[in-house]
Amino acid sequence: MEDSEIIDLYWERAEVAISETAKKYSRYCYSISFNILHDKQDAEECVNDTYLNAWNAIPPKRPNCLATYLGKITRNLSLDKFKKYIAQKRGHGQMKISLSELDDVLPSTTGVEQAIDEKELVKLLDKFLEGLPKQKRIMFVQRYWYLMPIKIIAEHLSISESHVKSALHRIRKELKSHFEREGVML
Amino acid sequence: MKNEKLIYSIGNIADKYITEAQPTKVRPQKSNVSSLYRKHAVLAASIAAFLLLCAFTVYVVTGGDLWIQQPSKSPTETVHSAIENQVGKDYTISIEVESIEVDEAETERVVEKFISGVIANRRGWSDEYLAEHFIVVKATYYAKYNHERTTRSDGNVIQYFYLTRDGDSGKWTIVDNSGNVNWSDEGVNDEPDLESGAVLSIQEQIMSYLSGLFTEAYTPYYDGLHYEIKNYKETITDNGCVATFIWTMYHLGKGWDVASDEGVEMEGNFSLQVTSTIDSNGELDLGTISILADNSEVGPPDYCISIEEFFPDQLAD
Repeated sequence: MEDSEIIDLYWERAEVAISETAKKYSRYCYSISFNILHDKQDAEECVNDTYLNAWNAIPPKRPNCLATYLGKITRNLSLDKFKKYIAQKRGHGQMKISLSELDDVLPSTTGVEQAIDEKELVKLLDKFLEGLPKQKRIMFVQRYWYLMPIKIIAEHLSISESHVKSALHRIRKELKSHFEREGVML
Repeated sequence: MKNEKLIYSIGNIADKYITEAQPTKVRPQKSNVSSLYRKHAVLAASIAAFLLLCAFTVYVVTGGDLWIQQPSKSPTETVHSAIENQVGKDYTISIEVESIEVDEAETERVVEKFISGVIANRRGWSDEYLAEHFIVVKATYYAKYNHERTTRSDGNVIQYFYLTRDGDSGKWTIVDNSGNVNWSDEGVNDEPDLESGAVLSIQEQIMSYLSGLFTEAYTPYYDGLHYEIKNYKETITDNGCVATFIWTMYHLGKGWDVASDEGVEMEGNFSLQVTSTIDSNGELDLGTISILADNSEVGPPDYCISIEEFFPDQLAD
């Protein structure tokens, strides 16, 4: 079923919208959640909550891209759950590693920066991504949006793991400079 | 999280970048004839695996459901127990069973279409053996769910259950089930296309046949098996065909070697050549089919290794 037809079902309040969403996007959403949580049961729970969130939000929303709309909901729900893991001191290595890599990006403070709101930060990120070569951009998004392991990114791009690691390191440095140039404080 | 703001903001980057980086392996599922055939191949293979291994369990996960069942010498009683036990789950409020009966016609159809041709011939199972060890039961019931716990809708459910009989105890166990054929176009409701005599392309027939073989061989070891054919080239000869392609088997990692691989979709690629005669109905003659893998490291392909050499030893013929 086409995305537009699924969205129409949501607008008609037809519950089959959820089963059609699950049929098409369960694997996609599950992968996103599992990459963050590394827990089958919790990932499944986040995927189910994604459908309920979509059901509650559409209408009035009419997403332009259903895949990324659902993916963003799943990612946020999974991150929220991950924060609970941290509070409970439950170890989930892959996600912690990805997050700690982003410590490199935090700009050093000099006193002239301004705290930036999230919308502005997203704009800056989009601008930064636009300027990256395609392969680097894919690498960045796969690592920090999809939270994919380095090994899988390397396989996907048919390059070595060390290549991915060093490229990501350079991208993070570039992003840090980008933020510093814009006078951003996170 | 130290970088919480940044991590959440990355989540809201433009859709085009998310789509661009979407890994092939997690792209949304497309439903088509091939996936339908894969579903049946998986069904056939899981039945075959149970018959082959004489597995016996009372907890069986089928189609995303955990059926808590009490295997019985009566297949309808086994199904009855599984449905009644749904009430014990936190998302089910009540179940009212209307009817549970053996569906002879569906049993015959599934055996004929999905087991006897591909798998039974390879295993040497006779029709009599299958008749004694495999059965389809149709159940009709009304289910009411707790909508704070599940997205399932209340209503009348019509479901087919596929059961195998343990040779020693004579008890029947559910090994698979259809979706609710009363609500969706999933499962058995898809059948009219196949029953109407639509001729599948050679590629679709190869997909169906290979899916059955691989699923049969790898089901005991891997979850989430599904397949893809790429770079497909086909040559029709006087009485048959020769097809070459890349066969990709996807499965979920177990994390045995690398812990982070657990649950991550992995893939294995095979460069294959399929040769077969074609009968007057345009169908592959499975008795003549040959599947060989490329053995060349460089240069032109050298198809000389039987595909079954790649299968786990325990299940190879």
